[in-house]
Amino acid sequence: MTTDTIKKKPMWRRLLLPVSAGALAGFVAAFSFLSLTDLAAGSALGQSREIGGLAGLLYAVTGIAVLLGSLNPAVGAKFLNVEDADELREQRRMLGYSSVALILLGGAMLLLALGGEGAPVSAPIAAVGAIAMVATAVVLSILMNRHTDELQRALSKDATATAFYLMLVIGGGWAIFAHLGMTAGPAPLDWLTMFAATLLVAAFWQTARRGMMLRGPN
Amino acid sequence: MKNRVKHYREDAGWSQGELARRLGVSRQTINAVETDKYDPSLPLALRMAKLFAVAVPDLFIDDWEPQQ
Repeated sequence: MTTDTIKKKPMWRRLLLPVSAGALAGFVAAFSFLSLTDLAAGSALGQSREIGGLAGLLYAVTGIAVLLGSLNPAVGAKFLNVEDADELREQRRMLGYSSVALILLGGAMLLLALGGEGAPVSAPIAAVGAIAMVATAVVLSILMNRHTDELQRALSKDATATAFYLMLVIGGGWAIFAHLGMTAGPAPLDWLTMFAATLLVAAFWQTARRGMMLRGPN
Repeated sequence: MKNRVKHYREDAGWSQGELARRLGVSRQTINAVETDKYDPSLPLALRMAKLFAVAVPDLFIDDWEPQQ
């Protein structure tokens, strides 16, 4: 069935389930992470690690949502930004690679946030684990690229360019003030968090800019 | 850019999925083109025109006029 024949529901009804599910999953995941890290480390890990871990968690939760949606298109169409369940079936392979890559990148961020001196995971384990996860995510992204078409590639390019400019403003601005001694410089993990966060924000920004944020009738 | 892809697709009796299959792109792309959310690449525009047996300017409407 095409969108021509589907009567679209009002916006609040289309937003209700995905926003509620996203907010609930995000809250539960963030609360669990912060509670666990407090228990594991004996005290709070510090802002850099907590924010980095939360960014990783956001990637992982997003990846899990896409993976579950692509495995069960009828349910996935209710909370993912697609026209209908058939779109998830048609793009199952691409979404499969993409979702696992997202989960791996999130896992790498979480491992780095919990790794190193004064953290629950030892530095060598965190390093090997994070590098393995990022390398696998890169391979999956290359495989995913074979199943994308020109619209998806255009969105990806636009999002990457936007992320670069966001990094320039946020990371560059922070570096300027730190260089002048007006604030502390970003920690290494802060840079990784900024890369992850700006790419995610840019992807949503570009999707919204093209008017494709609320596509499906849900 | 405004276009008449939907008009020609419906004339041909094809669904968005069928047109996507014939062009080797996703249904998402056809939908985005028809709703003016995405301007296709020149190769895709040429393939669309070839498929519908029309000229590209018949499919994609550009109001621009050269200055005299």
